Amino acid sequence: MLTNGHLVWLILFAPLLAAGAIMLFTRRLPRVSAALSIGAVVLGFALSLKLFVAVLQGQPVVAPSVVWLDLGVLQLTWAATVDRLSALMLLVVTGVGATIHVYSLGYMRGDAGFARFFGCLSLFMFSMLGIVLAANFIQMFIFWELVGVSSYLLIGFWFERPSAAEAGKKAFNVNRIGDFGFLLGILLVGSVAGTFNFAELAAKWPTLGLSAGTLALAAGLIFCGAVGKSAQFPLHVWLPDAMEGPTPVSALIHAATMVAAGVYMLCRVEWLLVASPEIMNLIAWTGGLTALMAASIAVTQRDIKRILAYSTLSQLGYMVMAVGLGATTEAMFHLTTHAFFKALLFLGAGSVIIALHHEQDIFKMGGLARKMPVTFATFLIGTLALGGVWPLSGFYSKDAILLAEMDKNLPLLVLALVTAGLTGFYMARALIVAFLGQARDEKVAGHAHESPLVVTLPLVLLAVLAVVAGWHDEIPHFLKPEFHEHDHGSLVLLGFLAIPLTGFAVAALLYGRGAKDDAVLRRLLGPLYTLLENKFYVDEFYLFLVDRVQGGLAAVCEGVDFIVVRGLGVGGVSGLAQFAGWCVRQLQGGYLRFYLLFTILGIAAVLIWVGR
Amino acid sequence: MMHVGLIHYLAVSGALFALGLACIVLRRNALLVFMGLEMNLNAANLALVAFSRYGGHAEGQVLATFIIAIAAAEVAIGLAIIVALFRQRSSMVTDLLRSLKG
Amino acid sequence: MSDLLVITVLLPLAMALIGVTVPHFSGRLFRLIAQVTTGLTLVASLVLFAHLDRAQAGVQFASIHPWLGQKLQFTLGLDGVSALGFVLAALVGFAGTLLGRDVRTREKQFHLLYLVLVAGALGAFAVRNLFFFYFFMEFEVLVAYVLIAGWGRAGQPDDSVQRERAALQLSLFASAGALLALLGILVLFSFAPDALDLDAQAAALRQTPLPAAAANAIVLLLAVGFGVLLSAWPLHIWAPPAYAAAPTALAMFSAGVLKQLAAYGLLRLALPLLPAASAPLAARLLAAAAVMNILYLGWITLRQTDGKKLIAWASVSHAGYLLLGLAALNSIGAQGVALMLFASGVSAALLFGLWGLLETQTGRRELAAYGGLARRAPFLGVVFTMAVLAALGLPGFANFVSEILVLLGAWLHGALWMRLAVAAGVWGLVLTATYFLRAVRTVCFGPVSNVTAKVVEPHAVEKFALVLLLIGLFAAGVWPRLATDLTKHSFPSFGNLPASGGNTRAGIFQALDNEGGVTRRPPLGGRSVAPAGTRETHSAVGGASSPANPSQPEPNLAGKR
Repeated sequence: MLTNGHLVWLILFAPLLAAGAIMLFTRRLPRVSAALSIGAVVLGFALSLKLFVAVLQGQPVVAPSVVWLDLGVLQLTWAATVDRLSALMLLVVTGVGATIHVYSLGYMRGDAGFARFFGCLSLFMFSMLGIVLAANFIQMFIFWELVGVSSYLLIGFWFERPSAAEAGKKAFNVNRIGDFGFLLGILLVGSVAGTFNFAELAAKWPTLGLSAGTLALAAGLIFCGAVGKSAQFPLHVWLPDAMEGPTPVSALIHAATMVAAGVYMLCRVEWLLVASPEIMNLIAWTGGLTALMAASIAVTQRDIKRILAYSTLSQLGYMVMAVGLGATTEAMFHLTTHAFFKALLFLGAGSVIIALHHEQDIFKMGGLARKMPVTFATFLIGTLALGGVWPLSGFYSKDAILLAEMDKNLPLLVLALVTAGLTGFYMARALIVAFLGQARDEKVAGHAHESPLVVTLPLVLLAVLAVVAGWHDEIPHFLKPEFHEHDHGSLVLLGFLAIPLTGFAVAALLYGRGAKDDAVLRRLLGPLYTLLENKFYVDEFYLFLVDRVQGGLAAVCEGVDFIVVRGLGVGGVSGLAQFAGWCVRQLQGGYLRFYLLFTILGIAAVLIWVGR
Repeated sequence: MMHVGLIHYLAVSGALFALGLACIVLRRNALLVFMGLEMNLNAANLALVAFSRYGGHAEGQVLATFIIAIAAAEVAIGLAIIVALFRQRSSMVTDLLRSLKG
Repeated sequence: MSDLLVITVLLPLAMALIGVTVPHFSGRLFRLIAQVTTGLTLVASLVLFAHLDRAQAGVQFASIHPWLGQKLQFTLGLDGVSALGFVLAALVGFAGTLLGRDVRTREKQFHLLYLVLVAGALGAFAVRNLFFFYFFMEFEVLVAYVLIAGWGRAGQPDDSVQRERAALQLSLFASAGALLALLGILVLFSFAPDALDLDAQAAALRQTPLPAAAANAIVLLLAVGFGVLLSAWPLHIWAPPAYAAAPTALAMFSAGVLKQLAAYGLLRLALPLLPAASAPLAARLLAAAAVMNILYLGWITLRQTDGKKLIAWASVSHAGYLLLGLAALNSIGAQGVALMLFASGVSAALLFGLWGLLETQTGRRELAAYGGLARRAPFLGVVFTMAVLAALGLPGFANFVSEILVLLGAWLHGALWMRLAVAAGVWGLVLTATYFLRAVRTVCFGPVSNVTAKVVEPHAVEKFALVLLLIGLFAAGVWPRLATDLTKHSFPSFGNLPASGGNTRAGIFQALDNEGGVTRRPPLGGRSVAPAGTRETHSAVGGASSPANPSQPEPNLAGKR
């Protein structure tokens, strides 16, 4: 009899089986591969729904566990956590995942690596679901790494393109740096508390009586992992480059799920963070600064996917900010709604991209609203949701965060509001330039047409979700039944609403008349524009660090080693042996006379010695 | 007249041996090394015969005969090698034979 | 079963001797002989591994063959750790014969010597006597020297000079180290002759405990001797040129088995002799060497542009993790090292084998010459990527589990400086990702280059070998209990003595476990809510009467050491 507990494992392992089958057996059969992959994720969604209902009704769901590593003194168990948080996340991941899988049928049609793509997608689903279901830190770290690898494979999917391969490598390396802190944090927490299991830790952590320093160190190191995975400053640099991957990848991994894993993890270990107010503050400010920085860069970008990437960075900043303020429910709320509308936006962008034969520069587009009405409508809904316009979901989730800020941290609120304004601006800019007016480049945008159903249906589905997901605060109430919003009155809410609308208005002003490029904006901002366009030169700085600093260090080491080799090697053992050989060799001069002399002397010596 | 005893023969033999040794070690010319070698052999012969005569047995003389034969054989071979070397190197100086230098 | 063990060890040797009499009809004949022989040894070793009793500590399949009186008997047997090494040697030995395409001259001598090499490694893992272990190890060095000097390719203009120099350095260094180890063994023999026997060591040392000075000297000498072959800093100098110059099968074997042999020697033979009083110093030295290997040598690895040299330096650098696990001086670290023997050995063999396939087809060594391998030869591209990911420590492969155990073990030591060493170890993972992914990016991705265009997919036999190695890594990575169920008994089995002050050999792990606060801690790791099907917790290390101390206060981060 399959209990709910067994279903949990089915959800997790179905994508893995699909991935394995695709990679090993059905590489030459694209349709079968796609069917396997989609089947696994849809099954996952259905089962997640069942679990969701069970959790809603308060039934405990216990997945059978097994001892994975038994060292005598140490035991690691392979188990699953099914609670409200993970039930919600399961739905989001499988649901959005399923839509994107279907979308990929259309987007990747005709690609030589069609089957491989679905195999990698399934591998990713497995890894992501593993993060959601992880019951202890080690399990989470395992899937953390696996998600990183899936991302690496998918970003570099079109691997013959050097920029794609570089982007995949960059993503992995930057994530590894975050994992450096993460792993150390895990070791610290485990060694100090004696267990890695989340449930046990949550109960134990406050009672351990640790010093503030240790608490801060543990929380800070764990936060490093989130900084890497969720692309917060200063480890944000991989996300924009990750846009090299196919658009469904960007939608699924780099908008809805993988990058959200960092936020999810932080919510999962809330008890750890809450213990250290200094780190909470750090988290909040990191989120806020990332949000502002990313939004300001997005203002100057021309590639539609880059705009959305920076937008994702910015929204992730919001979520992290919320976590830092202790508002984890609000953060998860925004994570959920963001998954919907950001995936929607990315898929819409993808629809445009394939319609225009892989053109991504918005200033080559224009007038697409008429030619691609469904795409336009859904993109519009996505934009409004992202901007935080009532009554779409983004309004509710974003304002929940803003209201929490109003209570706890006014400077951050100002930061968030400025960011919201910028968000409205750059999204409207993208929308207007790409969809409205006339086509700027006839060759490119002239004969676009609407994408097929397999592409537009997911768009519509996500659009519906983007609209309704926020109503009645259903989601936060599910997470925390006692949730209530901080109430500051409707005037404040109207104020919040006004800000993105102002952003829209400014964008309409600047771009409404069919601007060909960013000349006006460039003039307005002056040197600031260049700074923003170059992403604050962070990438260049990192390149300097890696090439000059670490590379220089490596060169020094190599030089020292060379000297050591000379010293220990030539002067050392080999040298010693050779010197000894040289000494002895002198006797073998080749002079016959010497040989004779030595022979005679030797015999004489022996005779004398024997004769004694 | 001085009575000539064993010791005198041995002394002469010893002196001859030493001279032969000196010759071997100090001479650079291969032929002269051979002469020194012959001297050594003959010094040994002298000593053997002396012992034989003063010891009253014949073994010494027998051995001396052997040595003469062997010396002859050895000289033949040695001179053959030297001649071959001379033909190769056009010189008899042993110092030049250094191919087996270590 | 013990007969099977003896046969497995002797089989390659016997085949080598028989092979000498066979006239050199064709090179392929001898390659075939080597393949069949090593294949049989692999099957036998797996059979032995499967038949090991998981619940039993101590040596199994033992057999005793008198050699030189009572004191020096040729005893064979397997326990948890050595069984892992045994399977490793057989696996890598087999894979080497399948993947080593680059030997074209004097195949007879090469393959017969290779068989001798494999026999030596199998023997080294199977013997239970320190003297014989030393003997086999030295023997391996000698054979390795001959193989490198005779068949190596340094890939540089003055090829033969380079490879002879590399071979010479290898043998001089290793022999010098081995001489020191021999000295240590002789000292040990003079104090406690019975202590040479692994299984009787505990009893022997109880009877005639070693004076601390002697014990220190012995351990130091053994450590230097083994450290050379392990390529621990600063004794690593010979290793990168030697690996880089070696023919493929030998490179696989050197980096895959010989180094692991040295680690095994340190773990199983040298460290147990360490008196508890010297443990802090030993830990510091080992940790220092580990950090230097991981960071300093890791940075040098960053600079490599030649593919084989990159793999060689990376292999040397990763020996640092073995050292770190040894430095932990507790059972978690030790088990991590045991698993890492297998994991790092197989993955090094895999990488060298792959590179050998590439290099023999194209003749080029510089990474920059390649490109687009994944397009041109997808199987090779995928396996290359997977091999690299395994070496990076990706979960799913054995390397990850072993690295986590090593890091955790070292972390649990508790001292601040040790934790900084662990941090260095984790940074090493970042470095590994940097240089290996750069290699993958250059070789596998991007447009197909002229050089890569010459590459064709490997033969079925070679594919089989690569897949076999990968399966080995997967199996231990996905279900590490295959290995740890065996090793968890090995370390308490060093001597189930009451913790009697720790001056006896056996006390080392127990005593140090107590210092590190591990022994009496409740088991780490998670259990889900209401576990359904979890096993019972095993009692802590040793099981014998350790001082009962149910709940120690957890060591603070600012350690006291």
